[in-house]
Amino acid sequence: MKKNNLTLKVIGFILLVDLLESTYEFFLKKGMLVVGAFNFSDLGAAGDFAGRVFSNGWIWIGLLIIIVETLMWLAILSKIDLSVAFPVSSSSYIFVLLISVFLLHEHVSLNRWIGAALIIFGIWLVARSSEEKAAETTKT
Amino acid sequence: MVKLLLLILFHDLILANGQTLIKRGMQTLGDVNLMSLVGFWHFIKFCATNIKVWSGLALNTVSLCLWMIILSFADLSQAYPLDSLQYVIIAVLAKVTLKEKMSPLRWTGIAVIVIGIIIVGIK
Repeated sequence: MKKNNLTLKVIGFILLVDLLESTYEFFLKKGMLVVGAFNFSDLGAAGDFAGRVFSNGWIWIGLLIIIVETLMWLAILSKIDLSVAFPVSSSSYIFVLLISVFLLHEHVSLNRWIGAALIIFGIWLVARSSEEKAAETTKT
Repeated sequence: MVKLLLLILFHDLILANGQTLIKRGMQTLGDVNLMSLVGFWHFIKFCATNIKVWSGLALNTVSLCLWMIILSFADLSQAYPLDSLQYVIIAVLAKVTLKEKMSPLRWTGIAVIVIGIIIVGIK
């Protein structure tokens, strides 16, 4: 019983990791819009480019989120099966879809919603398969 | 197309091996209460000094570079669905190298997720 609770809590953590992942992508993109495109024909300006990247506040927030997110992912893997954690982390597809609709006001086609629904259904199946196993181990 | 498929396969193999390595490093941590200050500090020290975790993170970085190379020439709408192969490779590696118990329910769930990703990626 206790193990089931833990699994649900961990799944909540994985969802949070995915949310952080979508968030840092957003911050990095925001930062790089300020920094501007990298000019491959002028490699002498690479130092100048790096300077602009690392003096940008958005980028630093993004990098900070990456560190937090990585540590959380390591904590998750210390507790549960990779074959559960990794499929469940596909919820990032759903978050990207929701961000596209509500923050960026993009039009999302019907097949994308159907795909997203399938992903959620698949995550639910994988999550149930881990509860199944937890119930078995407490029985024996 | 062959070039894209090969690169994606390569990318997914490196990514999957990276995740497996991280998992192998992290499962030796043992039962640590992350909510306590002592436990959390132990966790941080463990991550920072574990060679398997670092190797796994390095492989992840390599796979990210490969992904950028892929995106530099391929359409995202083509590369993204193909890349869902990583879910299958990780499941197989988890079963073979980590000896995780894969029930039919878990395989079904992973298959449904892959189909969902492919449908999301189709224009």
